[in-house]
Amino acid sequence: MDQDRIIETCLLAGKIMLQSGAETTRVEDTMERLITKAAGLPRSQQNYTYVTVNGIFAKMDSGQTSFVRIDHRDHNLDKVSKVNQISRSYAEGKMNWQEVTLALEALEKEEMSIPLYLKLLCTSALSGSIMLILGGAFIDLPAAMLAGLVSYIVYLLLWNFVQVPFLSEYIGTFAGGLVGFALSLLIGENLHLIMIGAVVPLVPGIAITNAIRDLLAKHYISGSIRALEGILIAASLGAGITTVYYLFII
Amino acid sequence: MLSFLLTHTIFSFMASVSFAVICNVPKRSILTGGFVGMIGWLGFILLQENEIGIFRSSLVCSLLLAFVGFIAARIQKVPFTVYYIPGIVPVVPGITFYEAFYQLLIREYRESAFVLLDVAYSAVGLASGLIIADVIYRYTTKPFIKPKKNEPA
Repeated sequence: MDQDRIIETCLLAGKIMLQSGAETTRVEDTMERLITKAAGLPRSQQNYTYVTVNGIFAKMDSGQTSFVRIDHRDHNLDKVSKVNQISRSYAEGKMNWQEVTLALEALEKEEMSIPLYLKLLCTSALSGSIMLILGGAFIDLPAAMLAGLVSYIVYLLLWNFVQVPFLSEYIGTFAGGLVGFALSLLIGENLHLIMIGAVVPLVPGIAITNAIRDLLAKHYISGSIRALEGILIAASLGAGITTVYYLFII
Repeated sequence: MLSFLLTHTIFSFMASVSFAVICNVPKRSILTGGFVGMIGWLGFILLQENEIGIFRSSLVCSLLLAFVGFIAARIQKVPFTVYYIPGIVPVVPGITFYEAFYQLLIREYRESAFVLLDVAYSAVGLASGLIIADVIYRYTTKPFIKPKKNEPA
């Protein structure tokens, strides 16, 4: 088979997985399994891939090399599991290479399938339940839910229209913190927990956990990039809430 | 005690399920993901309540969560991340991380240093728990579990 086409399709598979929030090791694994099966060659000095969070490189024994660049990542685990399904069917011989390429191209264009209202509903449910299990009382529930909802909406709006990283997080939590503070004056007791409800939809927890996972798997570059991203996001969240505290409380 | 357990069970389940929906998890895995997250959080909070430190609580929590997650992933034939990311959301060190920066910005430097160390312990604990669970699962449980047949694509 044409090695150009193999590399193109493998890079596409890797790109979809990485953009949807899969970890580095899994991407490398899937791509190498696809290449091995398609070309009939095992991984060797002439035949390998190299994956970081910002770029994927693949090389084959004819000297064919190519890479793609990844700019923005989010979490869409449905796509990760679909790529997995495709590579599994291909390995079992249920699909040929043509079908794999077509399926991946269709998958790349697919939008997130959950409607916006459901997403917003889940965001406020997330804020409320995290606030409760961290020790909050039921009287704080409306304030925390609304604060989380507002910060997520503001974040989404800013991200879609302005596309400035970190500023969106800052202004989002600032707005959420304002709403949480205002509501805590009316109904609510523990301002600290309400503020946690406001930041929860945006916290970089997955970035941090994935960073440590990458570091322990010896993917030092990906690990450090993700850790740095987590630190910067956490700093913007802290700054957003602290602005509310400085303006009205301290 | 009963109301304590009930609150934590219900709301950690809800937190995991809602995060699973936000992450666009495949539909048949959403409820299972909720149970996985619930198990992890109950392990975490029960250890924390008995005054066991953050590192060991995170480690045990991640061990439980990852072990159940690996089994569920094998049965349902989906990648393991589908269970791990929503399941870990209540325990995730991001909330503590935000607190560390908040303390830093209101100039509580000592507090902030303590909380930052907590973040590090918790993150390392979670990651090591995952790796230990992986090893245990691979050598003891995996050979005995058969994936479901005839899964719709």
